[in-house]
Amino acid sequence: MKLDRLLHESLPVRALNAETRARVLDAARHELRAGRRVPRWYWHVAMIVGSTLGVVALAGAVLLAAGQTAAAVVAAHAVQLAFLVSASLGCGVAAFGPRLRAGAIAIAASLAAAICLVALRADPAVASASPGWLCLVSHLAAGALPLGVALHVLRDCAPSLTKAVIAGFAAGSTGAMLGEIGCEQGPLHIAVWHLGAWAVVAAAVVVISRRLTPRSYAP
Amino acid sequence: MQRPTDEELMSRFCDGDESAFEALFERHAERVHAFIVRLVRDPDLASDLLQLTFLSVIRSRSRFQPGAQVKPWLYTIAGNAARDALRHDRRLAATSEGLRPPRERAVEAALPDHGLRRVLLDALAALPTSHREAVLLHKIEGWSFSEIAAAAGITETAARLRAHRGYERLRSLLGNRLDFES
Repeated sequence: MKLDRLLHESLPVRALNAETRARVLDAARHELRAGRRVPRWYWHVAMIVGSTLGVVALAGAVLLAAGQTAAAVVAAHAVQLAFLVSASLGCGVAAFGPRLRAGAIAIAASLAAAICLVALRADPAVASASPGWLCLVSHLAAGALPLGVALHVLRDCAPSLTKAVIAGFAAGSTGAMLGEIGCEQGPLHIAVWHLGAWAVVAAAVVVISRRLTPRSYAP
Repeated sequence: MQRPTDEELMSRFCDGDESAFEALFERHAERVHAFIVRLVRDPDLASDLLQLTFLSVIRSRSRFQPGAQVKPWLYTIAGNAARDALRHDRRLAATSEGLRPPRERAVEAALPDHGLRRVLLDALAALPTSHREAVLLHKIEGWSFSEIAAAAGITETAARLRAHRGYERLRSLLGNRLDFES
């Protein structure tokens, strides 16, 4: 017997029964009646990038007001901040925009931004007395809101490892930006604690998003 | 009067015409349901997944790209829902092994017990989901490789490769039973 014929004859094709049809249509009509807002992809990008930049702006303002940093320090790290903002925006667009194939570019941009943070960081004139893990903890705390937003937004799409990784990079950049505003320690500290926090947030988004039930399975 | 295309219906639906959604549902529900049944091998689960598929269409209509084809988009959603359900099913089975019968037997139980048919269904189930989808879409739904590629977000060559590998794997799993029972 030919495999093609066997496939056609063997696979169960059952007519969609009237009860199932009515149930599915009822559910669809109920969903339409509920009139929930259907956000476009750029709203998703705005939410994730907005939450990241919002947290950074707020925390930066607090650090400035408390005298923990200075405008000159922020200005000195303008290039790194520009890289990070671009990477975050690129990741947001790649994760939720119409062209998921831009994902590889977004991941590459994030890695380039990470390398740039380490490469452009000078050794500190005075060694810091505070432990390195303090940065890790504060960056994780700062990344909590963008992480939550990323998970919320990811539920609107079909589960995708690529999307989750890129959204995680976007959310995780929060701590790295804060590090450029409020931390003067050397490249090794950046590589271990700042980038470590970035990776932890990204990994958390990937792991948690796999366990969430999506609201939609659209790509 | 000319029948509106799927894309015209989708465009009207995106503009707020709910009757266009119902027209799309009437046009595709039957075949999408059959596609899901073939993927998950459980009619009850397939009905739930059909509902999730059309709810996803409603919830994600703003993300549908104008100019894109509706059918590949719809089947991609159905495939995503089926894959996710199978993934969760495997996870459940791994954590409660032996506590309940596998869902995928439900379809076979309803079919006449033909040995070769059962072997084929088992062989299909043994394929990676992406290969199974490609085989089913190409051989059963009659899709071209470019349509499969558009639905899966892969190149046409990759779609051809998936279907070919799936088909060859089926052949090897069925072994000489194909010739024996002819």
